[in-house]
Amino acid sequence: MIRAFANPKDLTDAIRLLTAEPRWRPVAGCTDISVKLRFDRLDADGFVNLWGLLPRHIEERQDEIRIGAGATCAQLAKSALVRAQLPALFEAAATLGSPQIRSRATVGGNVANASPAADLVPALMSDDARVVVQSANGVTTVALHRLFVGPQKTILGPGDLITEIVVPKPAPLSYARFDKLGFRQAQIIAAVNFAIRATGAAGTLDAVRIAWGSVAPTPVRSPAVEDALAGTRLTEADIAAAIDAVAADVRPIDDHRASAAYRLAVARSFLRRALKECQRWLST
Amino acid sequence: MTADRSRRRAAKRPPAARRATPRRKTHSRPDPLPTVVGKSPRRVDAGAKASGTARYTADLSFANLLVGYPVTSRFTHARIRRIDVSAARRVPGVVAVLTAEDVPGQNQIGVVIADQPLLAHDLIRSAADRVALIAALTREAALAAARLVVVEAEPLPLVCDPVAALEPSAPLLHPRGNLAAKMVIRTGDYAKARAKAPIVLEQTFTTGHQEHAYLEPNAVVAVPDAGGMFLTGSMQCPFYVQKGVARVLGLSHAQIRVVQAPTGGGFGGKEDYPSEPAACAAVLAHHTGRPVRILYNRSEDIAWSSKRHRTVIKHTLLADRDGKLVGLKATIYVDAGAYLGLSSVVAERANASAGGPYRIPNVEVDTLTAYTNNPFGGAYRGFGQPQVTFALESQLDALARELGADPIELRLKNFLRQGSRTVTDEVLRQPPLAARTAVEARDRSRWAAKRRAAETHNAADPDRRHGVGVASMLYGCCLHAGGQHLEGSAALVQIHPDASVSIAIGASEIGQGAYTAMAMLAAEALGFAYDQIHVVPTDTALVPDSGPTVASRTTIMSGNAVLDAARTLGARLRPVAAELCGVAESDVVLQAGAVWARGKQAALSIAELVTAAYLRKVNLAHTGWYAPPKKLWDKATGRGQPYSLYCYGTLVAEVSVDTITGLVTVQRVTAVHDVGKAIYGDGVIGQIHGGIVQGLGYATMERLAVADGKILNPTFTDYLIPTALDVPEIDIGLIEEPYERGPYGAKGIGEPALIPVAAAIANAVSHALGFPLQDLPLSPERVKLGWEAHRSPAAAAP
Ligand SMILES: Cc1cc2nc3c(=O)[nH]c(=O)nc-3n(C[C@H](O)[C@H](O)[C@H](O)COP(=O)(O)OP(=O)(O)OC[C@H]3O[C@@H](n4cnc5c(N)ncnc54)[C@H](O)[C@@H]3O)c2cc1C
Repeated sequence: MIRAFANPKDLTDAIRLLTAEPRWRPVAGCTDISVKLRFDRLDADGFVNLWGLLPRHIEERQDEIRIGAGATCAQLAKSALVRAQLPALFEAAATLGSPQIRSRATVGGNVANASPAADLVPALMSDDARVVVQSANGVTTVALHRLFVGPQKTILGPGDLITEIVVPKPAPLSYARFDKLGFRQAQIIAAVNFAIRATGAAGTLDAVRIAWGSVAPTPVRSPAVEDALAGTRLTEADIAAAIDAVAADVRPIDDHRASAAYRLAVARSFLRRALKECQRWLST
Repeated sequence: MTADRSRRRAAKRPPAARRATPRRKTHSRPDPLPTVVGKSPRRVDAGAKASGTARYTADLSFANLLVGYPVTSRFTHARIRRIDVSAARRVPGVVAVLTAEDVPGQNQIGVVIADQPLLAHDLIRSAADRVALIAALTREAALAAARLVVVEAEPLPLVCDPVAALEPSAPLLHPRGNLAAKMVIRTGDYAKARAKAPIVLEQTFTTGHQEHAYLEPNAVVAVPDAGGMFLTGSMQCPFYVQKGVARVLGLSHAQIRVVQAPTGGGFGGKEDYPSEPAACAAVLAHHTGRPVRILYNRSEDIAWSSKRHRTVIKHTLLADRDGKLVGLKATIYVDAGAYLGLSSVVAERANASAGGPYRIPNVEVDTLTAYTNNPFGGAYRGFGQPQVTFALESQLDALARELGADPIELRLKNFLRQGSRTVTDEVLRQPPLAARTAVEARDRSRWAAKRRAAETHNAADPDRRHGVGVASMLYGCCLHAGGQHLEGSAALVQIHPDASVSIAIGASEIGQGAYTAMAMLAAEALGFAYDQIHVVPTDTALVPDSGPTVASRTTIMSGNAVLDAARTLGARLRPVAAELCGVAESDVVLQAGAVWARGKQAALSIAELVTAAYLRKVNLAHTGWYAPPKKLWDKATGRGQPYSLYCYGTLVAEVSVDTITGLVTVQRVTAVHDVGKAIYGDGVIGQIHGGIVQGLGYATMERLAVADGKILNPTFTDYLIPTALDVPEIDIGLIEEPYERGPYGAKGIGEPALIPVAAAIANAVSHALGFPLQDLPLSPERVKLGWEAHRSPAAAAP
């Protein structure tokens, strides 16, 4: 039962409250929390409101793009910087939920909620994002793909707040894409999501980053596929090998939303379409 | 005449109310055309609903109100050994915990046959079976008590498939067996036709459950009242609630008064089902002597209420090489769930509609309704017909593929014509308009060009394929002959001394606009202004039993009853007007809110006329009545006249199918319906839009996940219905050919709007992919895995 709703004056105050009251939870846009509350799936006694306290910037600083944890999907989907530099994140944010949800859904909440289906996470992972965490002990930075330990579980403890997401500026010549398998056009939880960033030159792929959602207990990177592709010229045989490697990286389950076989089939198709597109990009 | 009512045009209408009273010079006689009917005035309930002042059941307050809660168990099929409610009774705030022996009357419910215990005592047959009822001060206390009800039971083997349920070895749910009902059609000589037929197409189709997803979950209040019971709630059929409650309380009908509350949608889901929570609330109210309200939350509503029937349809279509249909054999398995409910009535419509709008001389249809432990099958817009339409229309497209024929040309060759016999051996009296709707839909949609464009596009083997599909429909409007005793309908029209009018009908307003249509008909027939007419909530104490609000019958049945009353009152007012105007009675007309004498507007206003009539003690109230002529129909052969009238319709759907994900996007729908006469213009357009969207959900995304009789996705997170972004572009053509017995020529539109939608979409998807699809919904998973199997059969084999 929720008994408290605290409005701290700043982040330091919020961290103090959360450290003192380990059964209180931070809330930002409340879009994930309210659903848990409705279905009685929230193990907490109180809320600490971060809305209005979290930084909301989206800016380029030296060779990085820095996004305040309080930035909403609506902001991301309006940002020319995100659109130009991080097209996978742009697409994920612009199609998340609905206009109402996008105006409240924060990037920090999407990450901290640790849903295996979170749409922003694979997009951010494919761009090597890092997460800035502030706590009573100071500020640390952790690679996004190291944040998750299980469904709805992260390495964050009580009083650890995500304040910023930092993405290295992508190489000027690179290819990126985001795909989501959702069973209608809006308001839909992904049954598979996928993001890719590839860099290369002169017909050869240099590095490839791929991330998947909804096909494992957490969003995952795709090392077998990435290895299969790195340094190749993306021939038909290379593409076939990469598609074969998908099964090594994902562990989809059967549930009432979709079967494992179907999720795997779509994951392979997503990769195939992206690699065909990438092939055309590489040859130009 | 075909009215052009495209979505764009409808959208351009000014939002403000359009006054029904024409602006005209006052000295010429009004023309005889309707002045209100056919227009789109503001809905009578728009103000209250839009401003939030309409009081739904959850908004009502009563002194000493208790929360009622039905308790289910974790079992789906089991023999009960013991139910222990002692711990539940001790929860603070709990006022009563009742079990089967506390039901004062019969512990049985069910609208056709009462085969369902209100409270289970020996057997549990479904996950929604109640074992106890709780009345408490708060919902929290009721839920806490519900968790403490102990049910010890011995699980029994589950019956989860309607085909297997009818095999001799199947465990029985009811002593009389699992075959709950059987309907047939036997026309011509199918066996002989089969032996000679050059083309025999056999396919088996399956269709899934569908949840109604109305805005307002079930809600009802029962209030003890002078030895009887007063109930109000969200419902379609107050007279069903009245009878159901009388039975469980052991009281007479006259002791039960039911007033329909503003109702947030029904779609068939509130036809018989609300009698269940109403009976529960009434038993609790009787026992505690206090008002008891039951409000379901969404998950409870999805888990406990009825669904569109799941079906399995084994279908054989016979044709000759010219594409002429010569025979049809269908075995239709209807999954009733654990109790009959309305399943036999739904099966009746499925059975009678199996032949569609086509001439098929040799027919053998068997519709078998089976008891299972699955979710409760019930009424849902279309009532068994979307399923059989999907099967038949898919078969017609299979035949077109086989012959290399155009699907619309093939249909045109086979449609019923004037004087031809339907599959139930009825000779149609009214003009069959199927071909008109098909030609209109073909031309409006630019069918041939679109089909060619899709085929050219698909030839390049893109990931996203295009398809265009068609489906036609014959809809028997109003009740089937098997239920014709329920058809009589009443309307009370009362003119008050100040010339305002209140009308009460036996049918209900469930969002479809019935009250608006009734107010328009009353205004038209009385000659009063539309805004003088008020519609009071449907009340079993005000009007005689008028049967259910279903089967697209309200405009016709209640509408005719309103006309009957209004014309009677007109006949009482006219002599007074004649006297006051000093003309003969035959020279007086009331129209468009004015009195007309010898073709000129009289100095006498309607208000003055009414006052004069009142002072002369003229009876200014009348209960009108309408019942259609008797239909002759033989249950043993299915032959005869199943329906009073038919509506025709043809839909063309344009889709794009993403073969990467299997997702079907419906891009455009052209819908042409024969509506007789559109009484309430915007209402008709709204019904067609809604039917398309609901049918689109049924066709593509609405999937009730059921395992071992339990619903796994009783939430809107996981049970997906279309969003605004899933709605296609819609173009509507109305054929207005008046029906001689309809009010101002009207037919029904509620159910026809949905019936052909899934069939047309499925045919479009088949066109896009190049192979037939036999299972609804066309979920992305089915489409994707089907596509991969079609592409490389060996690789995709499981
Ligand atoms: C109708 C609907 C549709 C949706 N559609 C999508 C969709 O398409 N795709 C998708 O990915 N998600 C979707 N969501 C989920 C949700 O909107 C997103 O995950 C959103 O980004 C969460 O952000 P929030 O600010 O609302 O988080 P909140 O609900 O406020 O918090 C979520 C979790 O993160 C924690 N938290 C929040 N901020 C911080 C922080 N700065 N530091 C540490 N912990 C923090 C909270 O304690 C909580 O556990 C949908 C939700 C709804 C209700």
